[in-house]
Amino acid sequence: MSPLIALVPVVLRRLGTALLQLLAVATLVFAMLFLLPGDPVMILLGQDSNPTPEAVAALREKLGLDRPIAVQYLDWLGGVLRGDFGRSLANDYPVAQYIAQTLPRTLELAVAAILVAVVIGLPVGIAAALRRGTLADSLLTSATTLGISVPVYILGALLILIFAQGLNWLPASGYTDLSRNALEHFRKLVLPAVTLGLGLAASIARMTRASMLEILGRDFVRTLRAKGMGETQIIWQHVLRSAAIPIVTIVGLQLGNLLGGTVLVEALFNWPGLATMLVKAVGDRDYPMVQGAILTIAAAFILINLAVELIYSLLDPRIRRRRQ
Amino acid sequence: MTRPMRGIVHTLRDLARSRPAIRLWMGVLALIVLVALFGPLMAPQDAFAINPLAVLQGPSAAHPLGTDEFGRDLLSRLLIGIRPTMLVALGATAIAAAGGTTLGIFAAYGPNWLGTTIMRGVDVMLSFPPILLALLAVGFWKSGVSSLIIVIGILYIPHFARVAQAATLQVVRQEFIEAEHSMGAPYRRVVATGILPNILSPLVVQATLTLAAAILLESGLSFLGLGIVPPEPSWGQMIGTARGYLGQNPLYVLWPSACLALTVLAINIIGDALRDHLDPRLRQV
Repeated sequence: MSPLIALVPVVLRRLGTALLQLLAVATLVFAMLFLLPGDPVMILLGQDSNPTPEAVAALREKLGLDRPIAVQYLDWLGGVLRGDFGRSLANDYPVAQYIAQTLPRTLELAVAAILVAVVIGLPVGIAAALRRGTLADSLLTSATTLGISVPVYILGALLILIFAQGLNWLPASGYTDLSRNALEHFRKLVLPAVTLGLGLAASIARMTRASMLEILGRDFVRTLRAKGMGETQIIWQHVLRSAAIPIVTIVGLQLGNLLGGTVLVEALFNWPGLATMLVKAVGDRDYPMVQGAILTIAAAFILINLAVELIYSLLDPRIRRRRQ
Repeated sequence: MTRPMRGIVHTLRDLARSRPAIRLWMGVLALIVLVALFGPLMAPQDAFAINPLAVLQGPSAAHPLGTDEFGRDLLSRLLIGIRPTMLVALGATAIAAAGGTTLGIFAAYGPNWLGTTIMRGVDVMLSFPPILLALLAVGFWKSGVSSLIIVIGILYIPHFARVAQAATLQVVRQEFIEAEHSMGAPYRRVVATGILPNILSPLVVQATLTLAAAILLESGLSFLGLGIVPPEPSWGQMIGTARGYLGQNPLYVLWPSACLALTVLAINIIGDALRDHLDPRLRQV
């Protein structure tokens, strides 16, 4: 059986789980307002505000909170299925349109950050592993500890100070639409993407180093050397391939942190993405917007995890076989 | 001091003896704890005193680290700004440790269905970035130290539950637990004297990780303006405000950034060393 056909049942089972997870998140996002202590309408209007009874009743009706909970829930799920997340409380604009506008910007930032992380993290990890125990290795390893510990907004602020204000190479913050000015668009992408990517680069470098060292000690590497295979070929064709699974794992596990990190990085660089929309909506207590943003981020997260698991199965025949 | 507590102190002492570099980081951490305890007494000036004539100044004799956008003394604000962060981190870690350890032991030592239910819930919660959940809870509930402690504490319960469950599963299989059972020891006693002392090392390591994570989460929320409520300062919140004044006073963002980075780095490095030290497999290498 071709390996790709063998994957079909695995893919179907994982798709089923992902759908269940999505349902769970949609339910949670719906229930959130009722889980917090206090009257939902009062929570939305603000703890300390003193609204008129008319304002309370109006908001209650607008959100449909006056109907039975079961009806509200089914209505919400039905809307989500049709891609209808309701309307913003602030300006009555459809939430789905906000999401359609902001999600691509956040995804662009995240993808660029992952690219930065892989391009920096892999070579650093490989270099450290091949020079194990040297000064270069300990310097690189210390740098990764620093990269993991330093919060993204501190790193970002430093990068702004150095590259935007000090050297004046790149714009400090903001966003330009790709269609208006492509060069400016990518110039403004560099600093946020590097900021977001460096932490992940540190994780990748650490994992690459550890994983390479482990594989380099295996018997098959000794055999390859004994056969007279060149060191370059051993590293690139055999060691890296075997070391890839833990590296993909760490990238997968860190994607949640990356999504969390976008919240802070978008705020720091005034990047008008989904996370910025979420933070603003939370500040405005614009509940439908918050629900839509959270659900979208959760869905993105679940889909990314799905993709990561499928990549494992392609990389490691053992995982594929165990699943069958 | 109870026996396990004494064990931890011994471990830390061993660690400081065997790795001189760790002693330096322990010193850094001790200094930070001192500032958290006595910072308000050390502050040279009133951290809340506004001075419109000395806004966003660089270092001077009157203000060794400069001033913020209201002309408040940055050194004083820095010195009192660690306390809310530390309170949140310690309180949240305590809640997470207590709740997570209890759940984890139940999951491993209780009936199977309970274990499955708990661990599934843990998996779901772990699969979501904590800052998003914290953002929601703090945004819609209320900000401030006490709610941050509760929210961050609850968010890190699953991490402890997973560690406690894995460790308990290993201990439960051992013969001395079986022996206690056969001698008729009640479950409560088995947990208190058989299980808990033997799963303490991974929990201590997890506690250091959670401390660092809670500090980062509080700082992140305060950075976004949803954490510690102004005018009370916290380092994260100072960084968040300072980002608006990068051009006027670049040092404004550097001071709290350096303090926060150093704190998290110290906790992470000591935590790493502790993990290596407590794990006999790694110690031999």
